[in-house]
Amino acid sequence: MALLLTILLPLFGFALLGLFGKRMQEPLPGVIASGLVLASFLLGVGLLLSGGARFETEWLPGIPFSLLLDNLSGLMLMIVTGVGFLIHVYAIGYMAKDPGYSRFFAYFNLFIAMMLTLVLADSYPVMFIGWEGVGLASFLLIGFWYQNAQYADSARKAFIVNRIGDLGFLLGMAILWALYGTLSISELKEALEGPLKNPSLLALAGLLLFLGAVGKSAQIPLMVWLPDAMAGPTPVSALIHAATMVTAGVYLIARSSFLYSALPEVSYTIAVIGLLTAAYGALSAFGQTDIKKIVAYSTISQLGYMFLAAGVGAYWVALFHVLTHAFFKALLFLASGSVIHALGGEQDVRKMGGLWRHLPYTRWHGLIGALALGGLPLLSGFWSKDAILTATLTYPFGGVGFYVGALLVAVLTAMYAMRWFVLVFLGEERGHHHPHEAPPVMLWPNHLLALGSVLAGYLALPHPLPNLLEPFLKPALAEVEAHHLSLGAEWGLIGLSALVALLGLWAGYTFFQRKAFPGWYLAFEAASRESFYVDRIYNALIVNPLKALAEALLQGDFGLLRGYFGLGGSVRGLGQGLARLQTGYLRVYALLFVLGVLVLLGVMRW
Amino acid sequence: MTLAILAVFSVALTLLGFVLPPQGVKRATLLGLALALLSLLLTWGKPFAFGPYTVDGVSQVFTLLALLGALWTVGLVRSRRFEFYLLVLYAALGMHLLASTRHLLLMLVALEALSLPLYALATWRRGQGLEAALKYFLLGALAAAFFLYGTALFYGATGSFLVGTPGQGPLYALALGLLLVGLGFKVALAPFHFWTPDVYQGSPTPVVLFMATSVKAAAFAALLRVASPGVPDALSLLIVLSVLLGNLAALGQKEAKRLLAYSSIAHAGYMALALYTGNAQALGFYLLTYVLATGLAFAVLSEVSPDRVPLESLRGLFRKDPLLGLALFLASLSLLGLPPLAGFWGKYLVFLEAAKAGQWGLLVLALLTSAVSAYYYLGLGLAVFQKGEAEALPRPWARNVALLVALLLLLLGLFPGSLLPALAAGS
Amino acid sequence: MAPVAEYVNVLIYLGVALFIGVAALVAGALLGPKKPGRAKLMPYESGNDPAGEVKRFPVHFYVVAMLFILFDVEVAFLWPYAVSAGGLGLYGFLGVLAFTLLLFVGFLYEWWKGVMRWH
Repeated sequence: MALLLTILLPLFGFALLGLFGKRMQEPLPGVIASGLVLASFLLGVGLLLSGGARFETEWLPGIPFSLLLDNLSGLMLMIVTGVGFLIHVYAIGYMAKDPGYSRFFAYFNLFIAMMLTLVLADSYPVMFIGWEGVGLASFLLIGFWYQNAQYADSARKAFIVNRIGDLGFLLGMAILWALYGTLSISELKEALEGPLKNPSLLALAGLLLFLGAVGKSAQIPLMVWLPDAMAGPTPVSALIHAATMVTAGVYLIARSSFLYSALPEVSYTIAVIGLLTAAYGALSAFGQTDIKKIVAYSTISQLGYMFLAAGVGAYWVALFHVLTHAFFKALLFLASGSVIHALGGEQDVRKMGGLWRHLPYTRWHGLIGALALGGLPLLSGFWSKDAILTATLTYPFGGVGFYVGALLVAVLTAMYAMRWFVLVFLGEERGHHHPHEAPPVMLWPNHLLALGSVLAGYLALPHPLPNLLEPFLKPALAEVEAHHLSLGAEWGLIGLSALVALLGLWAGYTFFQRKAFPGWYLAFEAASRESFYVDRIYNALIVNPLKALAEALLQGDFGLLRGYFGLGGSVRGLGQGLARLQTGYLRVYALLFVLGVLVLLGVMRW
Repeated sequence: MTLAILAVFSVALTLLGFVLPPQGVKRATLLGLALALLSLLLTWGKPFAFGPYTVDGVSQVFTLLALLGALWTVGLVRSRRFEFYLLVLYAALGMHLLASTRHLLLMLVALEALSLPLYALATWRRGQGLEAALKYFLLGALAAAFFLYGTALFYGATGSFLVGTPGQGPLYALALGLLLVGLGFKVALAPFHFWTPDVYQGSPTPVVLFMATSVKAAAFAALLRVASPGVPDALSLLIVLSVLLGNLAALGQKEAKRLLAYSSIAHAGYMALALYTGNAQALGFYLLTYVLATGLAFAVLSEVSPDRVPLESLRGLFRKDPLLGLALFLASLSLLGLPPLAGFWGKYLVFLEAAKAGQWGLLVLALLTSAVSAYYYLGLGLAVFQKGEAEALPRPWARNVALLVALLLLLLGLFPGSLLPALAAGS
Repeated sequence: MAPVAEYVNVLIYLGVALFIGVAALVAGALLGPKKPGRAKLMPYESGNDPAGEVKRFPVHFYVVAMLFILFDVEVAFLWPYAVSAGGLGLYGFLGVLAFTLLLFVGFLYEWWKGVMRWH
């Protein structure tokens, strides 16, 4: 029951703020919302410390409404409510004076409630409620400034692209139901022990579920919605589109690890898509000029890393990266938000620069975030990324190709992270603004997130240093045997990745301070700015043909309708023509009468 | 018995009309018709014959329907001149006679006896009615001539005036065809229907009620007898034309009585389907539902206006007088043949007869045109619910009858079996 | 059952009648000189000049004419009855009596309706 309360608290906040928020004075809705999330966080942590919890009640026939708090969902719960709480607090300052202030926090609380439902669910249908719920909250928050038609379109785009993934989720559930007659995750886990019933169908189910994850986590080929989702307020980007919701796909894979560990081919597909997405996101980040879109593409890239880890079988590593990423990416977004706030709404990095002098705290936040993203040794991003790199070699579904690819992407990551930092904070001031530092209510969450970005990595240090996270998560995940590297090899790899990261950071730091860029880079940047034309390709290949089809169907429908009307009209016209025989002239009647008699007698069989 | 009652009342009232007030004549007419009805019910199922006058099941069923229509008409009318009631009474006498004989000459006399009063009734309101009535009269004379010619040829071919006498050869076929023309005119089968829309529109509404219900019943009784040994194959042409023309021409009509005129042509076509098997039960039931429904429609219209009734003037009737509006709605739905109403069973039975006779082409056409008819029946029925300023000054008597008939339509629709055995016993 | 052949004569007769009628009209139309004049275009009133406005005959005239026909027909029925009254017996007598009675009622109706009063 207490477990249900963790969901109900923010849900209550949603109801309260949605109904009465308009009548509240400005900071009050934010305070209530933050307080409820904090309460939920404390409750969740308390339950976790007391050894987890379980909640089950009758729901649909054959499908109970079941929640489960184990270490896996506990970790996610702490991320969602913990980071979520910090972002809530930040939003109190960021959203100040916005006309939709209380509405914003109502949606925010709805999101937390739905995300908790997703995370705590012990059966796929319940998870699907959360899955759709966060999609709804995401839609509402991307289109938060709905008067702007472009923002509203972005919201719709996010929703529609997600629907494609959701369809996969639904179909995957359907197959699992058909195969095992249950959708409870715990029961499926037991059912899947031993030989598989129908491996190919099960693989299809796994792929379909993964399609859902692809949609939610903006992986290739469904990644196009996430950059546009930056239309929402910055806290939204931080909470939903960086720290929590987009990692739901990774969580789904981890939650279903018992399934995927038995499906090597599907896992391989996941890893490939993860790597491709990581590379795509990193490459696309170079050309972006919107401060938030750079971070958004980095999110896509980092999510790709997580899927790479989950794909090779290192589920705990994927979650490790989810954790560290939640801190440093939320930090990056919130720092971006502070910068935007400082410049009065300016989002174009070409009009920034030289902010180092003006923002005494935010500059550190930005630096820590960028370095953690770039994988500077000893920061959290370094540890988790290194864990992924190592995992591609040690885990059964991995391979050297993955390692090399991931390493190259790590270089790129370091470079564009520095590009972001350099363009925003260094160099000369290119805009005409009077920057001012953010208020304390926005700074303190960033302080804490920066702390997390530095320290979160120490939860799982490489062998033989202590690793707290892996044994913590182990009971909730599938057993995948990883072979251990020798100590020398392992630390050699760590040294290599550290070297690579430093190299990338240094290269980015120096390269992007140049006044002029070589021609090949400009060409690359132009392509990157357009995200390598994926949107246009989709429009040309899918969206426009579908639109044309819809248009054609509509025309066909009109035509059909017109045809029917025409038919009706012609019948009516025929009738009126017949009625026109009714001239009123007796002689005509008599003539027709006699003619009728003659015809009648004519057709008779004599 | 029935004949005697009707005859005595007719003769007596012709003279008594001079001493009685018109209301008294009306009551006496109602009494006479009611007595005739009563005697009919008392002798139900008991055949009786006197010379060429033969009362059998067919005669009883169709006379019953005709008398019901006559009663209704007289009840609806308040005329200052007593001749109106007399004319209805004469016509009723002719109808009974027409339904009760196999003798062609008597049939001819009866046909004239019912037609002449109707010509006069059609002119009851001067003006346009006069023109329509004149057309009716002249075309009717033409039809009677054809009937007479048919009679002569029939005698020539068979040596008998009794219909049902078997015969063969072109002369016989010609005779049957001409008889069909004469009676087809009376029931308004296309292409002998030309009088219908004009007369229906021009005549006083209660008279139209009389024409649409009683005349049709009586003439169909005669048709049933004429067609009993075997239907002339030209009938299918008449049916095709009737259902097509009636339903299609009704689509564009803007005036309720004219619309119902075309509807009556179409219904004549449907009824004629039952002639193929000569099933008096099916035809009788169809006619009963038709008499009730179309009578109800005309009764409601006559409360709205004794004259023309454009469809617009029906708008808002439901709001003005829910009972009348609902009655008209039910009547048009029953005419359409929608399942919970009596009209459905009528159509069902008749179509079944066509199927039994193997007339699949006609059946398909009848079903198709029946679907087309939904357009104008719904237009008529739903008009009462639309917004508008309908006028209606119903009298309590008319309202009660309308309510009774509407209920009857529903009851017959729900329990059609309750009446079928009685019809079967009659025929 | 009469053979059709018997009616061939009738058919020929019909055809001849039709031919003569049509032929007369056509011949007149083709051969006759067409010189319309005032007098020729006047309505034909048995050789007299038209007497001004054409007045309608009083309706009474028709009613009286109908009365005449009524009794004319009655007489026409009574003649054959008179010839064979003996053979028909009481049944025939009662029938004719009823017939006459009905006519009498009609006569009374007309009388009381005031048809006989000539203005």
